[in-house]
Amino acid sequence: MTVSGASSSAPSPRPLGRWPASSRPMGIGFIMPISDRSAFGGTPRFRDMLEMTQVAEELGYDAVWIPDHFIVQPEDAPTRGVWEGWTTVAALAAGTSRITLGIFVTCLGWRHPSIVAKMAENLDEISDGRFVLGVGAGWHKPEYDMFGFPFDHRVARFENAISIIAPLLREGQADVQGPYYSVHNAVNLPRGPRGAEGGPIILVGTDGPRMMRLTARYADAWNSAWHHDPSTLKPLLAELDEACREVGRDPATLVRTAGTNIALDGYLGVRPNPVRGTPEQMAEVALSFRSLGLRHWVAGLDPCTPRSLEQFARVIEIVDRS
Amino acid sequence: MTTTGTSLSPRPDSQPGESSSRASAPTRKRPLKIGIMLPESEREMCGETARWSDLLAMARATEELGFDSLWFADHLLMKVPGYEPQGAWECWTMLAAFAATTSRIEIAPLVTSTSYRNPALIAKIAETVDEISGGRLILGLGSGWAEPEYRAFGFPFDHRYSRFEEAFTIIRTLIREGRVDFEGQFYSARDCELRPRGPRPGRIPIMVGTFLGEKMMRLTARYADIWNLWAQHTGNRAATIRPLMEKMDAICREVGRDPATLERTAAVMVDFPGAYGRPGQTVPSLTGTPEELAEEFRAYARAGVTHLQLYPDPCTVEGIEALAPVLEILDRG
Repeated sequence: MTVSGASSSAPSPRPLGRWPASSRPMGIGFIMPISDRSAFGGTPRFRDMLEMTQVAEELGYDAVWIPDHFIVQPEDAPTRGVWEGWTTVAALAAGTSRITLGIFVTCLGWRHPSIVAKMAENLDEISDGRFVLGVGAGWHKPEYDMFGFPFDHRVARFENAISIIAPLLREGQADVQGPYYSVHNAVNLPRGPRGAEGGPIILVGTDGPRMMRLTARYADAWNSAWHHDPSTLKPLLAELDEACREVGRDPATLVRTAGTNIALDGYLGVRPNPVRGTPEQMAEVALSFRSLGLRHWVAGLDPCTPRSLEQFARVIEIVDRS
Repeated sequence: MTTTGTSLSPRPDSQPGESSSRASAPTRKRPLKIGIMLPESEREMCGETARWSDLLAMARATEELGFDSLWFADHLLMKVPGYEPQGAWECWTMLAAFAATTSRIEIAPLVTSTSYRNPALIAKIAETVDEISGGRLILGLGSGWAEPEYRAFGFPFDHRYSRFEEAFTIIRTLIREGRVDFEGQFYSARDCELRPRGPRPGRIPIMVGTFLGEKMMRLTARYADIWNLWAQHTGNRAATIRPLMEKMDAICREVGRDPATLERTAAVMVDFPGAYGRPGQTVPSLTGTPEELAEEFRAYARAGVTHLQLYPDPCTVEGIEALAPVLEILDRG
């Protein structure tokens, strides 16, 4: 792909690798169940999602991560609907005060990149600087077909989109002529509370080599999910280091995060291949991820309810003491 | 609505206008609903840019003072000749946050451009904001008009009516029927489903804002619950709105709709002492004592308008408070 424009011709001058402050070496967050027949045990209503976020904030979780999907269509089961992610994050931001909120991850094929940047800035304003923009290239073809989005050239589209979003957030403006999206002296105004430091943090969720190079070029942080144990994550961390070197970035400046599914009491079987065990055993798993240098770990709790958030908080306590 | 063809019927299970009045029906003797437009653009709050904390204070004042609704424009960057460009907060994330922080008033985009987001996604966003608000969304739609922001942000400005017609088909069908299968020139949604559903499946009121173009008015007459007119196109006065209402009545009859079933709304610019001015304003603002303003709003109601969007200047909590005595007069009857 050819992208021309001053803003995208060189990596952003602002330092990459920002991440929300945490008292923990590795922060711990949870992914919100947001669909029909989800780990919530049905369709969560908004009041359920707000309650879980407020409970997690009270219990000291570092972050809540909101998925971005239109539908989930498994091959062997009926279609599951999903609430719209961005407006859900906005509403949860308005109802909380400390917890980090992230879209995890938004597919850049579904909204114009300028709208994504505007929404991200808006959420940083509503949350007073607590928003993390998680982005990805998408993968689930049924939702592309159903909602009328092209499924081809997903990485090239992603590259074009992030080449617009990153300068809009980091520098407040973009002028990019791309094969899929173009902006002409577009400005991101008004700025939220972190406009001067580059706006919301950008995280890319991917395991692919081309996407890793784009992560190294544009992102503060990287995520890979879902890993039952560190053995599947380690090779990816090495690939990420290599991707950084290829684009001339110091690998130490890229924040690494990962996600793991966790089976708690009353496991519903929604989240596959989960870690099971006593709180001590689960804490051991968390510590094994922490030893890899991760800054954040996303728990895919199954079930995910106010009660299971309390149950898993015991695991967090053990990790904190270790 | 009195059409014979089922394809024209917006909803099999309810009458047009029914759902929108459920969320916050005018109480007391108020002759029409009265809402407030909040400042989405830079420097719109008397030269200051409203922060989220300011907007939240205004939203809460709107609710506590007894207004019926809160409205937020959908812009990216306003460029008025002779003025500094004004960036704007993103409409739908703001509406979602208002939905979570208020409990009674209706919440609406005034209006969302169908050019800036995929239409099926707009339906999904609307359903989600209706869920967050507990059934208080009015889905205001329009074809967009601010060409400079289309250019800056890379959206096509051509064929706006045709694009709107396709987007509107996808959006209203998903909202009302929960599914759509549509392949158009500009948009498609194949075997698309809208779920989960919010608290009012099929009954989120749909409003279309038009600039008096006949084609847009015809689409509104055929399919919308509510019609909206911007202040510039009404002359910002009740006295000049009646012919526009009669024009819409005639269009309704042409397409076989009972004109009485189409709710009518109008935006009104009202100035108080300390007004800062609005870039590019082409019609005089309304001014007057609370009694005079109340009489003017009654005149809108007599002309058939069911809901006003007041755009106060100063666009501040004080500007909203200055309108509260007008509500009291109207409520006394």
